Amino acid sequence: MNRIGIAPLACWILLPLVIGLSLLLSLCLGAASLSPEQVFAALTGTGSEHGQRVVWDLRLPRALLAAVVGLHFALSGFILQALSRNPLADPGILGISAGASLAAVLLVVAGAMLPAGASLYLQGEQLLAWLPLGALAGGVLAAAGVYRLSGAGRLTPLRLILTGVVCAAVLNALMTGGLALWGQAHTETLVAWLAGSLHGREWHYIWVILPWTLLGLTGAALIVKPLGVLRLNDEQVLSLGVNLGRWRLLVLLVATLLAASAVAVAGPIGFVGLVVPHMARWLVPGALLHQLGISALLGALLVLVADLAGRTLVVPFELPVGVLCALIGVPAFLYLLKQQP
Amino acid sequence: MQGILFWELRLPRTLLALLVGAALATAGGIMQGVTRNPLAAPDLTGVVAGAACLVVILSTLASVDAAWFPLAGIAGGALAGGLTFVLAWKNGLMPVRVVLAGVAISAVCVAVMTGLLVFSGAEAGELFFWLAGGISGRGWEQLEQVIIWIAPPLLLVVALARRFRVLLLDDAMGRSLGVSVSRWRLVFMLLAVGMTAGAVTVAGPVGFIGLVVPHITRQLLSEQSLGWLPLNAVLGALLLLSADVLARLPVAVQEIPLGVVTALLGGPWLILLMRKDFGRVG
Amino acid sequence: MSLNAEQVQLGYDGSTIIENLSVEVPMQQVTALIGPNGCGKSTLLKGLAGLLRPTRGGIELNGRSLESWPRRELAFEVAMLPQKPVAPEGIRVRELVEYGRFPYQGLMRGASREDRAVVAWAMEQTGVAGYAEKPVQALSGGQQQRVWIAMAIAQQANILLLDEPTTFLDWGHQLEVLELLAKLNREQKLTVVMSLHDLNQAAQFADHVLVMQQGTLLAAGAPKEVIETEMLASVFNVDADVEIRADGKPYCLAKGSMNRCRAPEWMKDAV
Repeated sequence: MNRIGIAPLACWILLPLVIGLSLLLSLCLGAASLSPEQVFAALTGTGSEHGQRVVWDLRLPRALLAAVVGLHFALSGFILQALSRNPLADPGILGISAGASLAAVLLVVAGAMLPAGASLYLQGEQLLAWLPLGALAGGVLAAAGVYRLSGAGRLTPLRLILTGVVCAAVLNALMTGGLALWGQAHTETLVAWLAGSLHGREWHYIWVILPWTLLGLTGAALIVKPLGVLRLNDEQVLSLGVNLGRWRLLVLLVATLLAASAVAVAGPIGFVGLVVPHMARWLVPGALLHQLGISALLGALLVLVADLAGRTLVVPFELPVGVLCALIGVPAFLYLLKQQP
Repeated sequence: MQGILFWELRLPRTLLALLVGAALATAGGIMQGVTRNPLAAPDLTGVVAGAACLVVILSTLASVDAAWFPLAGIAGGALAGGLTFVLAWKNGLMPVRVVLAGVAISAVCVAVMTGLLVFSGAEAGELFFWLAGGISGRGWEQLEQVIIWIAPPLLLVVALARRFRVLLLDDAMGRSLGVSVSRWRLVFMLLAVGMTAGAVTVAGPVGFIGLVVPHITRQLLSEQSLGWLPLNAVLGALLLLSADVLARLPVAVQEIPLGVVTALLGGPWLILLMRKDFGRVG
Repeated sequence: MSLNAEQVQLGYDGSTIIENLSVEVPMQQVTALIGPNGCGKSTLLKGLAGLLRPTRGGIELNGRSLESWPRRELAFEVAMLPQKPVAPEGIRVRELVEYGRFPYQGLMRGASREDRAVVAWAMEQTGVAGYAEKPVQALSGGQQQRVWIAMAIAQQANILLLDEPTTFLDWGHQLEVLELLAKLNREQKLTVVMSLHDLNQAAQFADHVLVMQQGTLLAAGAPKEVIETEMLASVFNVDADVEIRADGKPYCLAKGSMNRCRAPEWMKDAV
């Protein structure tokens, strides 16, 4: 049991290397390409001022944020798939992302609509710091609503998914409507955000999400063991002495926390949480803990690469990372759907 | 003044609301009946998103005349809906598979639309309002544009109600009654897609009408009864009209988008229905 | 030790399956639960496992109402194997059997030396040690069932409840599983309660048979007292001969269902 198999070991060594490489690549490539030497010079503080600004202030925080956000979505998806015993679950499908987005949009709109000069006026970084909390509240509310509506303690995986899809549709309609209602002048930025975008993300976004990352990782480590048992049949779980309702709720909370905080800084990037866990399970069959960790790394890698592609492929423009992830993820999703019995 | 208000604004808008509601609800009833799947509705199967997507593509990339939009919507809707059903097919159409495939297809459409909205910049706000769904500011011109896409299929469907009844039966039974089941199924699906696309091009992707109305009418009248499809049309028309009236109530500075009202009205209904008779859905 | 139900009513969401049933499970014996489909066998087992709360009456374990048992402590006493257990995708035999030790482990603490010893013992007992590192899904139905039993006995509960443990297995594997349960009962003094469809298997392997019909307990006792012609006719609607074999166990041979079409007299003459 305690010996690690070849496959997980290889993944644990190779993936960080590949992630490091992609990170370096995303520091080099962009509107103005830099050589690796220039990047190193900038990182060590000996480069040109322009290089310094591009690498330190723009590309590094953005790349790091991409990796962190990917980690969040992938972990959340993995946990949700194990919890719902359904390989097609993810924060998007279960309505968590939609709830988080709606809350975030409402917060932004409310912040902008309040009269300027009012003490409550939230702006810029101040608003940003509140976004994860708002998104979390929205995500938790959506998750709790879906959980309750699908029959709470007696939830079957199928019911959970269907209720999630319907709730997501309702929430999305409300969000689109809320945005349209707000007025046409402001929608552009929010549309980009809703597509899932990392454009212009600087260091303070990292500081905003980091506490949630730490909290989410701790939570994930705490729930790994019960999560393993929760994958069994309800009756078996109960007869193993597990308090089914309480653990389900706790696990759902951790998954929601991870997804909602990521939505708050990068918008609802879909299909990462859906596809990555499958890759992880395929790479390291068996051990849950390894799968969880590998999922996190793969998610980080996927969003990092997708964002890099999004901002270098069609150069004058920038494709939102969420659009790219959907275009990658949907075929994979449909393939998985075909595989289902 | 009052005359203009009535003739040029209120009347065409009311007629449009009735037409769009009837089209969406009937299309929903047809799709649910033909696929024997209580969750197969234009919005959950990707038809709405597909129609909207092709319209957005044409209007942003090719600046095509608006008269072509219904046709583009039909093509997009038929494509997306067809794809959804093909992808979901596995020894029949299980409700969950259809919904999940529909979610995926819709996601692609939304991704493409969002990408285009981000690129198109200035027009984004306008398109966004359309995507939220609504018929504010629509007049006779739009009515004329879409009526040929909605009214004839609607009448045709009502006229063919007898055939529809047979499609609700078991395949083998329908065939033994001398009906070419698969051909008629295709005919009805195409009619449904046509109506949906017409409605979407004029009103944007208004959700939940096609999903919820058939569930309500099923409580009132047997699916097998000849009046069931027309009842869908009537109830859908009334529901959308009242939603539109609610949407323009002077509560906010701006009109509330119609899609929000139908989501607020339809969503809870739907979830309630799902809770109640989940046996059939699952 | 004792496990008994006193005038219980059991059901799901308002529909009552079992009405006013009292039963005492004999300890350290093998009990077979028989009866036609839908008679409430699974419901009774769930009730006995504490998975279903009685709407009336009470079920007591060691003289204490099941409802007042904390879940974890109950897990030390009663283990349950449902009819269709779910194996998580790709899980290996050893990992699955280790889940049986879950009640004994803390949240963060891994498997102790004792846990590992028990898991090894459980796999040894059930004959699955040979493929401990194989994915469960790659095994045959009979092997999988033995893995599930290994997980259940790794829980080291005194009472093991099984819902139709032989239903999805072929004949040979059915016998293997039943022999395994008989061995565990003999050697570990494990109390086994299982629902079975095959009456001859029930007669052969059980010390005690409970006959259920439409949510009530019709008869309880040793196989040869309970399994007899009239019961088969009234409960299963089967016309059968029952013969008591040399080992004292009854053996049923079905002649047909009670409402089968018998050939009319004139036809017999024609043949």
